[in-house]
Amino acid sequence: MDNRLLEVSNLRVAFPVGNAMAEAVRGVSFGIDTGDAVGVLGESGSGKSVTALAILKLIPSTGRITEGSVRFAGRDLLSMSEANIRKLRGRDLSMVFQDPLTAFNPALRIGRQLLNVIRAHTSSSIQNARARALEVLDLVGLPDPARVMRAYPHELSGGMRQRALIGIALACNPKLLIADEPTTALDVTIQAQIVELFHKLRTELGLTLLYITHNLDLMAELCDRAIVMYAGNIVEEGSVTDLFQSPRHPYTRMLIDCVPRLEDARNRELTVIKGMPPPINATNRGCLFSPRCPSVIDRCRVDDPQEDFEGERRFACWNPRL
Amino acid sequence: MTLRRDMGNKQLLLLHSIASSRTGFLGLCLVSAMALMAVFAPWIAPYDPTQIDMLNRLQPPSLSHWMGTDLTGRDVFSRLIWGARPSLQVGILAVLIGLPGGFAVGLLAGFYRGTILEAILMRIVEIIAAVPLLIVAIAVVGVLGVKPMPLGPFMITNEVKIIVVLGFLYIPGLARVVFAVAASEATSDYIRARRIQGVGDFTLMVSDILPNCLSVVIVWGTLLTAGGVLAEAGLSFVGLGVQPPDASWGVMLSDARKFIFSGEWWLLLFPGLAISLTVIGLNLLGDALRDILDPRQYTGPRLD
Amino acid sequence: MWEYVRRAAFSVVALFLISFLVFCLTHVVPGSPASVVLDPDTPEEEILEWERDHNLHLPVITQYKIWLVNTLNGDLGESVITERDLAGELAYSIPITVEWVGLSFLLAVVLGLPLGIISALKPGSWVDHIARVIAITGISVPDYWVALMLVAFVAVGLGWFPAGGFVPLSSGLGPHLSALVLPVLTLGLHYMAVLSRYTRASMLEALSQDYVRTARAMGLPPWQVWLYALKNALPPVVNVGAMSFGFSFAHALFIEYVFGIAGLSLALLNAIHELDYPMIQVTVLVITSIFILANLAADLANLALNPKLRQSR
Repeated sequence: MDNRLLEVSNLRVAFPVGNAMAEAVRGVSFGIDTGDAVGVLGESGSGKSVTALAILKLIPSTGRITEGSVRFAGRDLLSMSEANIRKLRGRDLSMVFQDPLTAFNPALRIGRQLLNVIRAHTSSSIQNARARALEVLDLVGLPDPARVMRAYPHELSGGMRQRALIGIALACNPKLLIADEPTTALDVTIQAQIVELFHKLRTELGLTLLYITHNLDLMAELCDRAIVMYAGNIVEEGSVTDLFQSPRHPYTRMLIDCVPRLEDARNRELTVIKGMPPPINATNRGCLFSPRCPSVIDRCRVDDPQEDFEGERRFACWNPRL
Repeated sequence: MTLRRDMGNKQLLLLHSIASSRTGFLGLCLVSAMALMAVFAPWIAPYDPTQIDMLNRLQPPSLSHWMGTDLTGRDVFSRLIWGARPSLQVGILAVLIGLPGGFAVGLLAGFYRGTILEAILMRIVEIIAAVPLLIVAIAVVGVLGVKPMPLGPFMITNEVKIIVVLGFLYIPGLARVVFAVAASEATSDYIRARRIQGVGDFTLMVSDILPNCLSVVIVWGTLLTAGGVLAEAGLSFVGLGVQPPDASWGVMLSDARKFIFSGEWWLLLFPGLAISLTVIGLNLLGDALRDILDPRQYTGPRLD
Repeated sequence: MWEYVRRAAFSVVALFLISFLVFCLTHVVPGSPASVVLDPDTPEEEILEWERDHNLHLPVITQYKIWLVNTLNGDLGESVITERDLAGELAYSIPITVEWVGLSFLLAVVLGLPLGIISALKPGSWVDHIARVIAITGISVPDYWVALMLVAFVAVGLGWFPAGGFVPLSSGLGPHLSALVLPVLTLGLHYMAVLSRYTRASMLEALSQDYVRTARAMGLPPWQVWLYALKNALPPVVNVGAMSFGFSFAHALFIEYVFGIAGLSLALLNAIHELDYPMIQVTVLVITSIFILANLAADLANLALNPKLRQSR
């Protein structure tokens, strides 16, 4: 029985920069099984958001998916017509965005926006749709669903808005939920609550989750497996435990070291990854991380790193930590 | 946060950007052509624009008179060239007159946002802006009369009256545009940093915030100039602007009006075309400038 | 809510200030109306007496107060020149202008909004390019010239429509409307250009917002996504529309002048030419009032469309 829900193969996405096309996503491949919670970790500019948008075929019109395939529940998404993929979006495959304030239409009440989505995908009557809407708002932990339905987006607090957004994403029982940095725009305390919410959704609904973030700790709480992206490539993939305990790729290791922890010695210097991620149109030979890598060897600057496999793990480095 | 850049470089960059946009380039060409025409009128125009020649009146375009002659035999082409002057003068000078007021009000109100000063200034701006611009301009000019008015040692010509009135009425538009920029810049971190350095308010306004307002002012000013050209031509058309026998495109249209039934089409076509091309050029230029300098400008002063 | 009240209050203040300004202008200008009305040979005492009758000997402020009280009581006085009842003249000319300007705006909205919306939905297409050319031309070309050209080529040349713009309704609906075609076309096309430009810009802005992307991510059908954008794009356009309505009286002046339509704006122009100060005063006031009312209407409409504004700042 094939449990594979999402299969991304060699995905490449390019955008015009100046007169040429530059790749934001440079050959990304990964898979998600039903029931998984997979995290995507990376800095801004690593291509993680673009990858997510590409899966839904929602990249801005200036961009282009130049290569690769995306299979969802056995169906090839990239070759699907717009009409067909629209049926999937919001129903089988949902996405939650970073900023809940701008994600909602400021001119419509939450309830109306929720109902629009429900009625777009199901042929429910208005009463059934309303019932489902209230149900979903309750599911995401909103204390007074009826009031939220009547409210305008700007009348809710940030945390409530994000819950409502998650609610809309869940309204039609999606098989896969992609969350693109859903807590970045929120206060720390609210962040924790939202992560709590995701946890609950996973345990109660068995929700399959693709969780994009740059925050390791949040990801570690929610996900079993993680993919680390840098400059449009996947540099490492493995279970969260493995990644934290024995990261192979220098970038992963440095990401983990960067976050100061209470247990560290008080006078330990802060770890910093020197330098900046490469611009989107960088075309250096070899590993794109080499300018900033502490364990760089000569080969890194010449050959593109090949993937090494180690059981369920993989990483792309000429000089990994073993 | 916008940093000041070397001014010379910026102007070249600007010209280059305009030239690379098709519509901007067209606008620049049109405006330059008209400006050159106005400046070099005495040397370009083949005839004296006020020279009457009753024997040759109402001639259609010919080799000797490229655009024909008008009701008193004056060469239309020459009058067209000279006519560029009042239109462009009014357009540009009115904006220039409004600029100091606009800057002063906008900077002060934006910088002291939240204070009584801002409240008073912006209310005054609102009140002046509540006025239908051209109507009041027409009324004021009409009432003051079209003859030159003595004011102290100066004789104020009609054109000057129009420029001053328009300039004054332009202040709210300019002030609002400047205010929007100044208000957002005034709370920015780099201003705060400069203040900690001990820089005084006035210096902050003039050397730090003002340059950042230049982009929007240039865009808005270009569009106001277009309006000014139309206003001058319109006023002349109804007899409240340039007085005969002087040439202005609006006056030429007014003359042409008597002849629409008898078919002297050249009197009507060319002046109108001249006005249209000038204003189109200014609008294209303004649009191109807006795209380059300030993409979010379109919502205008009405919204916050 | 308070915002609305505040704007209304300032509009009223503006109205008073404008009326005072125009009053001052007409009474401070050298040369009294007497010289215009009466014979040049009239003896000095008669002139003084005439001036006394018309309160011209009082300080300007007092004269203004008298005028203000009269006006607020509905007595607009008589024109110095024509000695006709000002209120009556206004009552005659206002509906005419409102009618034909209103029709022009109807045309502008009907043509301009869809043009702008389609232009924004398909940027870069041939429709978009044509729309933008039309828009730039429409706002740049002087309406009096367009009016003259239409008269010259359509009325005189082709003879389709009359060159005079005003035929009273009593002469029949057909001739009445037929005479209005050219002026309405002139003003209407101009404002169609203005509206389509703003609609396009506003729609483009709305379409680039995050909520449009979210709407698409939720699988909403395209028409619904466009409506989402439109609902947010309309308020600035409504604003522009109302402001344009106010400004249109200036354009109307030129067009009424060309077509000989005895409307409000032409009345102002005639009053200026005849130095009929009371008439100037009153006409400017009426036009400004309409302008202010139009702006207030726009604000009301915006409050209804954009719920965010209902909160106090």
